[in-house]
Amino acid sequence: MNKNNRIKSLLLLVFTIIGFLFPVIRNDPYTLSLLLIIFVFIVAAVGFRLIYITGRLTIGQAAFMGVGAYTSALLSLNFGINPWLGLLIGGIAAGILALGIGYIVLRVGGVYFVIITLCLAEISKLFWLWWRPVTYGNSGLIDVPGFSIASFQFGINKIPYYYLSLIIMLVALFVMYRMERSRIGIALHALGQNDVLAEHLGINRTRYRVLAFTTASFFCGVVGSFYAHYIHFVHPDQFGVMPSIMIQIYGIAGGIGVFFGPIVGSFVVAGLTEFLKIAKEFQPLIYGPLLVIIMLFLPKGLIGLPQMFFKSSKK
Amino acid sequence: MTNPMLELVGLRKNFGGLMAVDELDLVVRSGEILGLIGPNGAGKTTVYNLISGIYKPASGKIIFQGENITGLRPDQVANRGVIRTFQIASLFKELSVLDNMLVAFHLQSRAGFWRSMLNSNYSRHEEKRFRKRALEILDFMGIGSLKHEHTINLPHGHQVTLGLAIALAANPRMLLLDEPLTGMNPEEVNTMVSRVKQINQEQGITIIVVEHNMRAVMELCHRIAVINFGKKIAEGVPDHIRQNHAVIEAYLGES
Ligand SMILES: Nc1ncnc2c1ncn2[C@@H]1O[C@H](COP(=O)(O)OP(=O)(O)O)[C@@H](O)[C@H]1O
Ligand SMILES: [Mg+2]
Repeated sequence: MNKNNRIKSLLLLVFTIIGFLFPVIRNDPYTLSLLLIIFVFIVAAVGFRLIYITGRLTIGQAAFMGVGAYTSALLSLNFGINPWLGLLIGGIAAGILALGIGYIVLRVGGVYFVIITLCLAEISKLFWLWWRPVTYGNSGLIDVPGFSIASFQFGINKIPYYYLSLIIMLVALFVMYRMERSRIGIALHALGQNDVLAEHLGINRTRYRVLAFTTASFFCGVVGSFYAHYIHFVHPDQFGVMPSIMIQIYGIAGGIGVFFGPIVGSFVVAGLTEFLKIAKEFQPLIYGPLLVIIMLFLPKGLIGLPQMFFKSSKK
Repeated sequence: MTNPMLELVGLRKNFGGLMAVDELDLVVRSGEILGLIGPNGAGKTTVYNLISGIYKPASGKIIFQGENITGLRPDQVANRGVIRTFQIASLFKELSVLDNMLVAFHLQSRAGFWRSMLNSNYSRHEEKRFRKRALEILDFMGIGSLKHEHTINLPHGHQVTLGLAIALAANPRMLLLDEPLTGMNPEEVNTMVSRVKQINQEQGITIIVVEHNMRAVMELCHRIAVINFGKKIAEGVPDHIRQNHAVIEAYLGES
């Protein structure tokens, strides 16, 4: 157990160092831009899992990315609010919204909750389309300002964006990891496995589910805001049902049972997507079956692969 | 010994036209073991569900240590020290035995949100303390060696035992046990009975037991209340209940 933890910590350290050194080793804008988007989705997918462990499956997380993106983009465009501050405000806006919605919808479980969050994703998209005087509807928001430090503009250089995305991801992962590892995480897991018993041991089920939902959505808001200031363009289509489903696919394909599952899933599936880009509109045709295959043959997700291999080779 | 710990006053609960609990008055004295018996479908589990806050009564009051707790949520009732077990062993199936226990320490934690998140000294010490206490309880219940097992792999008897161990870990003032002897062999029954007695005597925990094993109930309980069709039909010390006609009828009528 202890040895296992040490190996895990070591692996983490190695990956973090690789993460920081990567642009030095390979300063290739294409790869960097791919990676920094993967970091964005990792945050959302790990958040998806944080909610999942409390026994609630959401397919609406992209809606909160949208809230972060629009909030921060609009504030910077209309009021000149600094994007750095926008990151935080975008996160807070998404968090507050999740808090309000969560208190109502987290009470229902099972397939009802899934459908509600699905609707949420779609409604949020329709809202951005509808609120034309502010969001410019289907035209989207253009020329969203980028980040700068003092007089240094991030501009079109991928490297600073890469590092910002990496740091945001690491902070988000750290917070969610700590949450799961703490006493709070025990309560979250307990709710997911048997909420009636958990409640009879004094765990307020709505409060803890709202906590997970709000935390995950706050970080979705932050990365949504980052995304807006990175590509300088915000459009309702970026935050509908499809990206929400992608977040879910990353989480489940990677392995929803463990913290690092969605991280692996994001790398592999998003990497694969890039690889499949030639297929364009046929991508879903490949995703769908892929997810089915993973769920059928890898109940623990991709992260369960080495373990399965290890076990069968030991026999 | 005589001041009331829990009082049910005119408690009623119906499911549609069915009166599951009907004008029930019951006093549980501080420090006693009270048996709650009655034929299947008499309303015993429903009484527990009313006390623990799963259901709200149609009318009537539930008073615990002088406080009206009618209509509180289960976590609020638990917070006041009333902890129940479930008729069908209710566990966190995918957690280890020890982690199951740790969930139950939730109410006792004083670390709060930030200290837990930041893994402060305080919360680390607290967790160490909880682990130690959890192991003590598991040892006391005789399942200490199973601490790393996944609960899903435990045989039925051990699952029930763990259910009680979890309830104990929640530091109860009052325990509500729902058929804790079901599916146990005579030897396991004896062990369980003596443990429940020990819990009552050594830790001073007031206990209500719902149970069908009459021999065990007679041996275990200070007093017994009998209900049928949601109504109380008898109440008294075991010897008194043994000879009560209404009770004999209720049970004979059932079979
Ligand atoms: N959730 C429910 N919905 C409808 N009827 C119920 C429900 N729970 C219990 N009942 C009915 O209430 C009566 C009492 O049930 P219960 O309290 O479980 O009995 P006991 O525990 O004494 O065997 C039974 O007739 C049962 O069918
Ligand atoms: Mg029952």
